[in-house]
Amino acid sequence: MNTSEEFLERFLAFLNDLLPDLRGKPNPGERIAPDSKLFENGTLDSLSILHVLAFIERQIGAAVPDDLIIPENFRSPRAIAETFGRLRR
Amino acid sequence: MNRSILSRPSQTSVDRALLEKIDSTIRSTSLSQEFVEQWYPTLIDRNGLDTAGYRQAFPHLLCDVSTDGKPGSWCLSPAVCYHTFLSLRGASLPTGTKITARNHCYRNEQSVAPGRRQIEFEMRELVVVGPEPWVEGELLSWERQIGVIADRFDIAATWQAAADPFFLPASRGKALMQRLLRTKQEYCLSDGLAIASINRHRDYFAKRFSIQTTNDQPVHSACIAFGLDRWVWAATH
Repeated sequence: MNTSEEFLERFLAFLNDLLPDLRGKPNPGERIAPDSKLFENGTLDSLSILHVLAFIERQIGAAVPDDLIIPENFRSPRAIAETFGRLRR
Repeated sequence: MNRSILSRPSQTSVDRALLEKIDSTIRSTSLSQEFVEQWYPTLIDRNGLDTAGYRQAFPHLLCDVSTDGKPGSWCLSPAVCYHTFLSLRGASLPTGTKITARNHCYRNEQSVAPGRRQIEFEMRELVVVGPEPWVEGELLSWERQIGVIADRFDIAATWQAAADPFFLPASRGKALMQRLLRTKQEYCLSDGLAIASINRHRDYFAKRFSIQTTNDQPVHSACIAFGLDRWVWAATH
């Protein structure tokens, strides 16, 4: 399993099992899948994006570089894993 | 710099003529595309601005007008489009609505630079309110047209994703969402100074001001803002 796949597995577990507790409400819709759109139907809002960023920073052991915070890198769990999985220490 | 001296630098007749020429170009372009012109006052209702959420997002920028030494019912307008949403409160719109307006705006900036960042400045705004696909079509068209207008004044700039300068740490999530949803794009000079911006409000203001369409479609809105003083600076530097 490469680093992106490991990252994706951990990230999906975080989104589906931990994030609802952190933001105090269930995720809308069905279980989040690797290619789910994260900004449609309110899956991520202004509070949960902070938790997502904190998750990524814990995984890579550093602050998320500003130039990587663009829509293309955050459109789905897979896009996030492919962008940040390779940065893991 | 001592910002108590001038909220805005004095302008020569040459600067003023250039500002009017730039604004006239934007205004006439908008009027040729069925925008309706409105003239708004300098003061804006404090409660209305609170309904828009301005104070919660930018408490550090708001200029309250005091009466008898206490905050009164009015603020100095921080932007043009809030007047539009206050005037559309409770409206039921048959089709897309397009408003063009210019006004003096005021923000309590902590750091100022004449022509680039001022307490008092002039802004032309184009506001579009209607169904989302129609709003997106207008924005796409203006993204291109702004480049044409800038070319006419020999201004080189590029579109960049941006976020508002939210004040509270808790608003960091809002700023991130703005970037990731591309709700704010800025037309920036090579040194990063934004001379125009496209701001997608999605259904935020329509919900806050109970704006509907006659066919019950969800209402979105957006504004296209031009910092006229900055256009003058860009055209002369």
